[in-house]
Amino acid sequence: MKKLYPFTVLTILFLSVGTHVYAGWPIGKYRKIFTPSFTYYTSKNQWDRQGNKIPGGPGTRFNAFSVGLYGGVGISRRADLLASINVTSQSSRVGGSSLPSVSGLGDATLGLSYNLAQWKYKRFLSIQGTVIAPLYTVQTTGNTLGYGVLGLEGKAMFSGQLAGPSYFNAEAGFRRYFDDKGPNQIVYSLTVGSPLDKRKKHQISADIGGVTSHSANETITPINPNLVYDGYYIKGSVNYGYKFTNKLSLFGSAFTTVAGRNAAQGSGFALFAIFKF
Amino acid sequence: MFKIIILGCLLAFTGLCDVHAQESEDPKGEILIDTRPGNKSAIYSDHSSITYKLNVKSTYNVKQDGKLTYELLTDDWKKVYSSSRSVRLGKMGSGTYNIRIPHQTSGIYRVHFMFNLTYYDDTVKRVVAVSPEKIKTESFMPVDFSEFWSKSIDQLHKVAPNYKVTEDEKKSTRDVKVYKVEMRSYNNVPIRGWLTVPTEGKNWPVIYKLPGYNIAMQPETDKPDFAVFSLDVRGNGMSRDMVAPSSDRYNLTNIENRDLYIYHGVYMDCIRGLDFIMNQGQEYNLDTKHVCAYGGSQGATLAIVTAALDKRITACTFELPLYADMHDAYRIGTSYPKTTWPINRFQEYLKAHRTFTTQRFLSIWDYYDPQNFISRIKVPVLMGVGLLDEFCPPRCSFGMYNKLTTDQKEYIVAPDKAHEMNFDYFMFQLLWFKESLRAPN
Repeated sequence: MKKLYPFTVLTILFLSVGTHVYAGWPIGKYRKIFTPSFTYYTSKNQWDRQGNKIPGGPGTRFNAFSVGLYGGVGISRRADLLASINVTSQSSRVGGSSLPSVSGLGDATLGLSYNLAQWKYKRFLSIQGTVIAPLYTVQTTGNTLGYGVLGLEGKAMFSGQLAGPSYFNAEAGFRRYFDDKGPNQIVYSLTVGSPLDKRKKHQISADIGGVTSHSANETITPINPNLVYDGYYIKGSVNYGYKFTNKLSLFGSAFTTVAGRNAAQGSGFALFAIFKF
Repeated sequence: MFKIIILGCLLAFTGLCDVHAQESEDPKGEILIDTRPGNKSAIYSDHSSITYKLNVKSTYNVKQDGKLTYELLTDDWKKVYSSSRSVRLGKMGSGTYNIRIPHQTSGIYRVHFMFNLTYYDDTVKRVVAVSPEKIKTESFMPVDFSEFWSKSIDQLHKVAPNYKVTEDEKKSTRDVKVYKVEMRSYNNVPIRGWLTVPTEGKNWPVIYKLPGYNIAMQPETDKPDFAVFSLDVRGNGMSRDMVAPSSDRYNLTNIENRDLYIYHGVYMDCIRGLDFIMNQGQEYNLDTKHVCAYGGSQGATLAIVTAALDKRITACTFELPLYADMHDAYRIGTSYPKTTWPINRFQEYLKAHRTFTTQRFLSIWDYYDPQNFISRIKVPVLMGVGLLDEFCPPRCSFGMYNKLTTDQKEYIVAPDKAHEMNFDYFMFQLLWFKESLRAPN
């Protein structure tokens, strides 16, 4: 059996960050977006197969750092080409003993989004297809920075103005990893945000979203809240952003998993910059 | 007793009179008519029927019968089709009527829906465009057109601009710096404008805004993604030192002389304003590689002329282009029951100056007609047209638009608007500005 380890979390987290940046509205023809990010994650506890929270034992903790790059290019008024890549490093202690740390490239993604409809240029309905490709080999490295297999994701996104200056992004999709045991996953999230001032220099937003995963593989990876095979988790985050110019913004995000089954529980933060040009 | 009988008769008679008065009064109410074109923007193919759906609602407390007559007319009021159908509305009733008019050749058509009911008569007027991309208008370009404008630009370049830029601290905000810009233009006439530049960031793409007829420019402080230079051409707003005609005679100023006509200087003012952007732009964080000429009505003409005469413009957008195809505009304007502006001003002038003939007037305007400039534009173009516009006949706007040789051209129609565009258009135009000037969404 493949030995599956934590770092799918970072891929998923990065996708999440990317989504947060991009949301469902088009980047726009000729325009580009570029987002470097840094993410820290730590976990100790887990939810068992009945959804009971199980505290981690003494001396058990998982930590991870990830640096990611996300980019998008508007290839037409409706279509955008999106790509991401990340490098991760993990360290863990179980029962007071340190396990060998792991680092390397995680999953790369390449996606195409298409805006199906807009309402008065204020709300947008889009679809996106993404290929997820592991840039690591589970068998040879003995670890994983994700599920370790090729995946495909399709999702729909509805986003735009909520009320006044506030905005929202709702999305739902299906993700399939091409392994005999899957997993097959339903992914979903809802983001609501608003600028805090008239100049829109400061903004806050909150996300709630998660993954429901189905697989014959019932493995639980306690040290990784986002790597779930046959279970689910729901993650929440709060985000603050500051716009320096119309081409540069910085965001900080704090996140935690708030519910789950057969999944790990963790929390962390992310910092990312958005360059638009 | 006799008095009582007389009084009774009088009362009875008065009562009868009241009854008769009430019977002769029409019932009160309204007929609400909602007209919806079969195609949302009221643009039809010359191969398809013109369709409308009319939702009619009565607030009368009585039944009404009558007739709905619908007519199709050309934009210069020649009837091409007429038909009718019966209408029956119950008390507070409503009805839906689907109208189908046979397909027509390319052009702009008026559609009139006339309701003649028991207690109600009204006409709803709409305009549709049929295959507007096929509308062709005749060109009357003078043989020395290019030479005339080439010489004019040479003359302009002989005038030292003497730019003077002063920050207006009262108008500047935390987000936008506002500068008053002064310079010398054609014939050494002083002109002025407002430059607004966002305070944070640099290398701002520029919207070069040109004025509508007698519309004084104001600093544009609500465009956080662009610098905006709004120019008051001569005789407009802040630029009335040497040329200051009254507003209703502005476009008549020296109209009998091709070289002295006010628009000769005005068009050159637009080039001089662009000179300022290009020569002084770097000092004010302007991205001189991305400059869009923009205007509405008269400003549309000025934007077209600027983009045509000067290749430094990288995009051009305009709505409701005034003066396009003056020959047809004159014919259409005078075809109305009452001649529409601005043609009525020209017509009045021609009547008062019998030696200045319509033919002579049009031959002078051939040097200033934006349709004679537009084929020179090689940059992306966006045009907005209000189908009910009486000042700028849509046929003339499309005839001019169809002379564009650039592939990157597009138009949007506001079917229910006259000399204005709707909210959706301006939302799209903002995205268009961002796309053509490469500003992030």
